[in-house]
Amino acid sequence: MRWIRLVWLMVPLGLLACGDAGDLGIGPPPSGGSLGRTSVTPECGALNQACLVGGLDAPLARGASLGLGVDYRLAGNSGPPTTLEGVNPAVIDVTDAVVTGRAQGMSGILILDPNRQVVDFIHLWVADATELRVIRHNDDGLPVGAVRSSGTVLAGDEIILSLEAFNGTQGLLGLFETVWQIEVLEGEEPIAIVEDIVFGWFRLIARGPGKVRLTADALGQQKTIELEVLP
Amino acid sequence: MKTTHGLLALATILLFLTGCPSEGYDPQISLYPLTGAPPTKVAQLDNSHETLRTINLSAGVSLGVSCYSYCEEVTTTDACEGVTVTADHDEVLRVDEIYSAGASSHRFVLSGTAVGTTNVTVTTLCGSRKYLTTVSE
Repeated sequence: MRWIRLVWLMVPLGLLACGDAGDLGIGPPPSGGSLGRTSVTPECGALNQACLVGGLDAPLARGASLGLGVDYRLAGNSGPPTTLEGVNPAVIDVTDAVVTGRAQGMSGILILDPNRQVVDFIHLWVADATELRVIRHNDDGLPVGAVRSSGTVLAGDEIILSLEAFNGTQGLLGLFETVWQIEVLEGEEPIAIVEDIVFGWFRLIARGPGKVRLTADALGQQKTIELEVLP
Repeated sequence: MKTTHGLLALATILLFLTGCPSEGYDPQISLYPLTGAPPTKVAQLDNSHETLRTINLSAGVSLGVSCYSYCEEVTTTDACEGVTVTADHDEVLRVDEIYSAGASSHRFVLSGTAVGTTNVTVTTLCGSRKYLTTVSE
């Protein structure tokens, strides 16, 4: 298990070393279009690790949404504004450069110029989430590891959490709505969960001693964690 | 001498039966692929049978293609100039031009939008050819 912890630690360090642009100094790697004229970068939102590490190298979760940024690779030129259109509307919906997974499958995404000529295109898969993992972030927002199914926190702790969707061992792309349920087992409202102003982040606030069962519900999957708040 | 006369006679008979060799070429009107299929999917373009050219795509796949055309009648300009590629059933196959820095794009993206079959017609200055196109799951 030690190597797994090391990998979790290495992810944010590796990302920092990459030094890609972004508000936090990190960002996902771009993926080249099939015609080699553009690079397409996913907007990873709440530091979704599958997105940050692999870029567009994973499927989009069914029901999740992913913004795509397009940069030209035309020598000596920038380029005109582009619009994105999905090839297979049964699988994806594309609205204002945001792709939403509708059904399992695959679809091309055309990158069109104002004359509706194709500048480039990519292919994107959509897969069902089969598992949710709760990820803890440090105070700077960097992911530090997956939260265990049970554990303890101290009263006064404030912890940033996010959820990652997986299909088997593969992390899925996309942002999605999450509903948290808090079942108090001991104490009086020992924990509160507040949605952060960053989409996909949640602040777990340990108020006082007690025990709770937290259930995150998203993409048709549930993840339950039991926490004890120590005084 | 007898052998030589025999060969000449045989050649004459063959020439009579098959006709004079053609001086020209059949018009060449083809699409050829610029890109490949994504993993686990199909994107095949087959020009090997002149009478039955085929394109096979998985639904959702986009395939970049380019025009090639040549004929004796068109020698002073590119025979692909102004090429058009059309699908009989655009609900099965979507055809888009690829942006070109030149005046005319000879390149297109064919995208399988739904399962089905359709004919794709390529028309150049040399004439036209059809591709039987199948979009599968």
